[in-house]
Amino acid sequence: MKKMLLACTTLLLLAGAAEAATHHLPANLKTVRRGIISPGSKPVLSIKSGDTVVIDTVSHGGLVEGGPVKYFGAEGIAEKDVLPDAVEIMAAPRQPGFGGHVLTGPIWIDGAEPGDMLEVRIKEVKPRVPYGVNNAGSGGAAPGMIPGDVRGSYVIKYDPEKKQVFFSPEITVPLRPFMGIMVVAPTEDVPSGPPGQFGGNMDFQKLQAGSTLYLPVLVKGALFVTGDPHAAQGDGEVSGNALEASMTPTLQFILHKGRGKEMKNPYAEDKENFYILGQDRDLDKALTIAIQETVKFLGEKYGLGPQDAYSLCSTALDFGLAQAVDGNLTMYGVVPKAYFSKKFPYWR
Amino acid sequence: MLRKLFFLSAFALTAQGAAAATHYLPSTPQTVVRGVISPEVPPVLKIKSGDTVVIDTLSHGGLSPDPVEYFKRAGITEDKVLKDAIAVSKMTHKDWGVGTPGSGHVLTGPIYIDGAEPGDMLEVRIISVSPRVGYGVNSAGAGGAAPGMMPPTTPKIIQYDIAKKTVNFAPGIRYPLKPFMGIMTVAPPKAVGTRMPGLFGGNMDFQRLRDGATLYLPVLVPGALFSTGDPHAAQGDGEVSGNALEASMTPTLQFILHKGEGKEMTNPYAEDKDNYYLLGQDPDLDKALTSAISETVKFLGRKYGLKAQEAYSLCSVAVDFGVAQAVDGNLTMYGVVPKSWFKTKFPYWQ
Repeated sequence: MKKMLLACTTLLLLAGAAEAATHHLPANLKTVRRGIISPGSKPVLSIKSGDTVVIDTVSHGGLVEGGPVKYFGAEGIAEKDVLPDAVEIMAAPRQPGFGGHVLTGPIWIDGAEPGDMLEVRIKEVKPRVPYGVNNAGSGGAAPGMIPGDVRGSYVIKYDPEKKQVFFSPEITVPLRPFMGIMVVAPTEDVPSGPPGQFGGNMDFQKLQAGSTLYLPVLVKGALFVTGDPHAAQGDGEVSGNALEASMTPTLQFILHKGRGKEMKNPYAEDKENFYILGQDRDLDKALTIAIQETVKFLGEKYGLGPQDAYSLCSTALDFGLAQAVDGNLTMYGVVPKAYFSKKFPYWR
Repeated sequence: MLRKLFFLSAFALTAQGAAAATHYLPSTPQTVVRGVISPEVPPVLKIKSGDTVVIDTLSHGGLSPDPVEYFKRAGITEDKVLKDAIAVSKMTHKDWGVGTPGSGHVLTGPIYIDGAEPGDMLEVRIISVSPRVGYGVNSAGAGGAAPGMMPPTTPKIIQYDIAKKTVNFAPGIRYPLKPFMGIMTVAPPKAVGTRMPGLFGGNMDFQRLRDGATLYLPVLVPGALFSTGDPHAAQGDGEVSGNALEASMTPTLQFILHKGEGKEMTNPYAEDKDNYYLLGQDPDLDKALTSAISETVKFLGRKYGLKAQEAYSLCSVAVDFGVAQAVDGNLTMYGVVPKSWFKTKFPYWQ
């Protein structure tokens, strides 16, 4: 571990003041794990609150038997356009019973302790390649609709500059780069599939550049990890996966001492809205929890009584669906900041 | 019935050629039913495909037993209470309609569309939805999609500014006025309560059905028998407390009949200038989503020629699925298909 930490500090790109450094965390066999989020994972980078980390992540899309060069080659992608770290990561061990997500980290945040809250500012989510993979078959939120995996996973190309996904010659949809998984370590090993209080595989497409995710710290050092990068996804991620494509997120981490004690779910915000999340295996219950969390938030943030808050939820707030396919389902309430004369500063 | 039809034809405002007239349908004890949607209710207006109807509707919010008394507590004087609301509030249960009331919704209609037959599709263009008053009611308490979160409460009377299109929710909190009709429906073959939406449309509480939008309903009985009610001044996706900002509105709707196009319809759907909205409904929210996905995949096939697998993939990587309402017994979810994504373009009336 000492060697690894050393390796990472040499990748330090620039340092502002003493408390705000920028680090680079590459994706390689030493810095990634697959399919598991564990408090026992050794940190691969140690940072201070306020630091920013540029994190390479690799999509599991295309990391199939035979390797990514063969898979993407068959889909018309030249070997030189396949990420070398994707090839390297094929050799990473997989535990039976755990999924294939490639997770970069964990990052140790100095001084983080259970009961704190970790603010993750999403400065940028930069595509590393102009192509990704989607699979739409017999699974997802409409299981059995398609008889069998008729095509299997296939490649969809996009233009990172124009922010357009070329779905077909007739159809162009928006690029929406975001990280499907951003997570602190839970107190026990969990598979990376279902999200939870710790964050994880929430597949929440509003977490694009400019947004902020708040997670409760559950173990010492927080042990932040990210992966499951997406180039595009609609609310619901209904086929069970998005446009899976390798990304480099730039994230700034800010620790809030003691502020995570009451957090039962992560929440988020961007320039326009707060997003209050609710999670459950049942979609109806996930919605109920999202409503309860939103009512609580409106009380804490804007001083609304429960009836006023519930009434505002019903007459003015949209409740939406982050994902309906990850075992623990995620719904969210949207609280537009413009509705309130009381204003709070935001970093963007 | 004959008497009622005669009475109403006197309200015809303008006629632009034989095939496109504009009618006015007031809300009176003679033209409304409460709590039921029934093929047995005699039509109160007969129109032709292409006709437009200006329809007064009444909110049940604060209506019974005495709206004057009810709104007094918010400083709303008797002259600000709709006369037709007072008249309808005096209807007895036996005047409410044919069948078992499923709630207190006030529905204006039904409207008989000439030539409409089962298997046809009725296009309802929402030309406008005009508020009739500057106030509405919301109830948020022990029920809704987060039941038991708080004890029962007294409903809130909330005032809004029609000119500024702003709801003055509380000091320091304002949000946009978004008028729409909670219920637009054709008659099902058998009477149903108004609470649960279905194939026939009904209480879908879908807040995207504002002015400029279009709703498509399958015709299920001769004449279609369209009615509307449950007007809302504002509502978020979900209508989570169980009701919206309930406030009387006058929608202006144009009706266009599409012969034989309703045969394959398993749910209503909608569109506006920017998007198509594909609806799925089920008592369970997970299954309502599955239904909305299936409807969206079918739609992408028939409209844009996508194969099922390709359509499912597009749904996952780009289509946002949302919740219209999660509180009406049969829950409504929807897929949003932006028209701008496709090279193939279709004309739209707006």
